[in-house]
Amino acid sequence: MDDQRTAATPDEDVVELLLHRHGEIRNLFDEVRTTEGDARREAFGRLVRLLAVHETAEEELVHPLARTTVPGGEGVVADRLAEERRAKEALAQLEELGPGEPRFLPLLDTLRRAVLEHARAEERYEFVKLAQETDPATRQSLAAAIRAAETVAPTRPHPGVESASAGSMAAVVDRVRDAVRRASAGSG
Amino acid sequence: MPAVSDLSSVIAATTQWLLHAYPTTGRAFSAELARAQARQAVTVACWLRYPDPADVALLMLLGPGGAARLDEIAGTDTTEADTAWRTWVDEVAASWAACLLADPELAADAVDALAPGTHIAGRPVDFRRLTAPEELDRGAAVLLRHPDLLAPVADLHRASLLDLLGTAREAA
Repeated sequence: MDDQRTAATPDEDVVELLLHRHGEIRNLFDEVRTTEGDARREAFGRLVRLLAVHETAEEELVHPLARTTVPGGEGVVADRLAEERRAKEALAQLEELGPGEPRFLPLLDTLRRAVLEHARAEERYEFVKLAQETDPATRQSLAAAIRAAETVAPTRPHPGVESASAGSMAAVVDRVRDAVRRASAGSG
Repeated sequence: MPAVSDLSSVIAATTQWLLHAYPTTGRAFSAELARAQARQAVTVACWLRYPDPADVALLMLLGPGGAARLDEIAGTDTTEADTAWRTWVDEVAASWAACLLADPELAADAVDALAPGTHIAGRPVDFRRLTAPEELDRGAAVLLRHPDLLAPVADLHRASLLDLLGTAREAA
């Protein structure tokens, strides 16, 4: 996933991070529209992955908070979820069609307009309120949670475990944890 | 390298293991829909298994154990080059996630049992790709949600998950 995401600063809050992602989505739609052949296919692949990961993260972490923070939050979130569902169906249809088909670009344009309108509605109804109604620590922890949800599997081994057998290490973790809990219970 | 309190590498690697073992039959978008479901299942499993910072710190220190036994069960060819990430796989979390993917009701119970502390920090979280998958999600995860196919992995640690959820229910 790192291929289409530009670096986000560690102290970037959730609103800044999401606006950043919306900008990346807008740029990727333009890239798919303005390229051809393999370049378009590759850009469309990145768009598919970015949209899927971004919408899931919003649904998991941002909309639940908006439900309780934004006036009429339930209705606002229900509208966004319905838009996301329609966008996913359109995306699946586009992928099935393939970037080489003549109908691909008109359908892509319809999806682009729907996704950008969806993003503007989120920015207007959810992000502004989140920025006003939540404290900086909450916004930073949400950003960290979103970045965690975007994490890909490490390419380096866990330090020190290459020679350990899986079963024995898991057992050590459980034994140490139990010992710590007993100690904490005893002292508490 | 992840921070000491950060489970994201374990969650990402364990998710990747499930997706390798139970691949989507569709295209790239299906793969992402399946990934979202697996990641949510593994996240819930890891949050249940490592509920506080001391648990996570120990896990980071000692390592999550790796995928050796899971690979044996799944018949994975471990001679392949990309073995580094497999050391970040947590066998118990993979097994619990398999239980949750096979049974959305159990998944809903597991989400309800999440402690409001460390990982959620008082925030509401919606794992609806796991607990309320839609048609597109199910289509993308035919193997990943198939109870019979998941059973060899799910059965490894199902009892401890049910114990934990039973205890959480009694405490509620």
